[in-house]
Amino acid sequence: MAEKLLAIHGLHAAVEGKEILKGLDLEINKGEVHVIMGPNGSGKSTLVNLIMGHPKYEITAGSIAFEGEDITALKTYERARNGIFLSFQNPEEIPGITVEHLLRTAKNAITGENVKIMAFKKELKQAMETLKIDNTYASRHVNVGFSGGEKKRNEILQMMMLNPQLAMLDETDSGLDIDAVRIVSSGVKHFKNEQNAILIITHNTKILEQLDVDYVHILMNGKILQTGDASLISQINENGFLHLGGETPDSGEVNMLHG
Amino acid sequence: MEKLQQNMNPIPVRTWKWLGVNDTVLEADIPAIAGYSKQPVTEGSEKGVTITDIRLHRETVQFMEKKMDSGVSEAMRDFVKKNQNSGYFIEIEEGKKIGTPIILQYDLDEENPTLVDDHFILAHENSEVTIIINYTSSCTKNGFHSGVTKVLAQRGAVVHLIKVQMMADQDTHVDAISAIIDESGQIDFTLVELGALQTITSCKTKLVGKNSTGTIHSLYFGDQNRKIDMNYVQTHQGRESLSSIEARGVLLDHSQKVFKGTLDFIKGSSGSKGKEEEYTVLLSPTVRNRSIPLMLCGEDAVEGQHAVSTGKMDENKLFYLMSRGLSDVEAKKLIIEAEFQPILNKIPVTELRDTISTYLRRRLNHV
Ligand SMILES: Nc1ncnc2c1ncn2[C@@H]1O[C@H](COP(=O)(O)OP(=O)(O)O)[C@@H](O)[C@H]1O
Ligand SMILES: [Mg+2]
Repeated sequence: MAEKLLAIHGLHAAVEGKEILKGLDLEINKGEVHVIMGPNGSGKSTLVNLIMGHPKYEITAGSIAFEGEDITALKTYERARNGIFLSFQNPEEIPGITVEHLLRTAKNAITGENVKIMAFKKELKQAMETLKIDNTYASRHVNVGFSGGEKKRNEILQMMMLNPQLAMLDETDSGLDIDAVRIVSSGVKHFKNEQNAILIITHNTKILEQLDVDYVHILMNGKILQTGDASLISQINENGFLHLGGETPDSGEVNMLHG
Repeated sequence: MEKLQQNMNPIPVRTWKWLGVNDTVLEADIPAIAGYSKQPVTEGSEKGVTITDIRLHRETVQFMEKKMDSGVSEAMRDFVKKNQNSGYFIEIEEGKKIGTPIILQYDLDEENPTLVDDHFILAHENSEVTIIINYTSSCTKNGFHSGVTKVLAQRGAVVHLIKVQMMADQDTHVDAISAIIDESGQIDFTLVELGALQTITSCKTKLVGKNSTGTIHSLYFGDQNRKIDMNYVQTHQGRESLSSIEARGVLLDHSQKVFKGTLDFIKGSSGSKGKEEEYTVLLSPTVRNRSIPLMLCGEDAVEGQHAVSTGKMDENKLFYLMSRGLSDVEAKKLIIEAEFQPILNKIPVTELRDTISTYLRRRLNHV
């Protein structure tokens, strides 16, 4: 039997007093690739930020367990050290800190030991080659003056270097050109193995081409409205979300749900 | 002493009395000043530089001083004259570009707990030099430093003066700098105020010559009960002169800071530009942070701009770093270090930069 990595049950959550998630269930096992789709503003980023423990998002009911343990009381860095990673939809700029310095500090923090410099440098070089990032970027300040695509590639670089058990990619492919998506996608493929899992938020199929997608979830009206296999993606791309019977987040009360 | 202890750091006009910042009160008693017996100049200097005891140059210095308003109260000036126990006259020959920074290292200890230093830097025409004066202390009680540094950059001379203060927690640091820049000359100040219980500093530059340039980059770090009072003035006299003041720092615990930054455009300084910018990161609600940017325009055809801003730690940046496994403290330390980096990078001596980083890291351990 597959080992359970993430288990979310009956999750209700609010941001600034407004309820965004209204009873969400989601389970992810080791070795799986999950995709979440949903209209803008449906709460996809909210969900992954909650899993990562952003202080602004408040859980009002339900639970999030990682490897069988409730993590809702854990701080963000404890979750990271347990093996959860988020590739941000909007990565932060950190002036004054180089990409390499952040990565090394992060790796030390996550592994709990001082990484060996030479081995680290070698690993970094390889990962940067896979992602076709020029090696001068190692000494540039994190995301400062990076283009949208460079920021996203930098997120994937961090994912590869930190080697989490659960990687959540929040629209990592948005705003990238075809070639950049392909590069990112090959980085993700490189990272993927039977011991970890990936949760991908996307509107496109390009990033998924090199991956075997196990489940596709539609997040609407604060819940997982429907779960299916990869074929659901093309259905959505052809017909949009509305035909599923949910409503766009701003259109008022939900009358009918099926899933 | 009564008179000295008040009014240490007057600003050019008394507009701000209602804010209570015009008069800075020195809180520690001034101890009896004994000798300073250590040797602050450690290395021989390059050709083109002479470093000699300032007391051997009374007449030259007095002559030069007539040209300069020392920028400190008379009481302070008299105090330094009377109590001086160290000080150098540093002269750079005309046209000489000195590659290696000149370093003066003052280190107060139980045997030498008081320092009153008086320096004069004379950069002759078209010379270039970087001078670092570093103040540290291992005093366990009430180390005291007070001093005056004067700088004269003659035509086309470029001087970079770096002052770093990492004194002990109970110490007092009162430091006044005044400078004159002649035509096409440039003086850059990098001022790093990290230690001492009370810090009162001033740096006043007169941009006398046409096309002269003066910059001040300052960095401060207040924690515990530290009090920091900085008063920077760039006075434009020459035409088309350029100045800037940039201060950044971090305050936490019960620390207090007053920053006074003045751009003074005197009549005749047409075509001049000045800019000042201050950014403070406030890490606890109990700090006291005051900023008084001031612009005086005695001349119309000038451009001045100032920006003062304060910030809390950006929650999203902290979240980003914590999502990479860094604890709250580690994330804050990293952001503060990053905040300081651009100014620390102006110090061209790796060992000193490392010493400062280590010192900061140790201090940041309780953020
Ligand atoms: N930090 C925030 N402050 C206020 N409202 C927010 C914040 N983050 C998200 N929201 C709101 O929560 C809802 C869901 O947003 P989000 O999770 O970003 O959607 P998605 O990622 O699916 O596009 C939106 O209505 C959005 O306006
Ligand atoms: Mg989103």
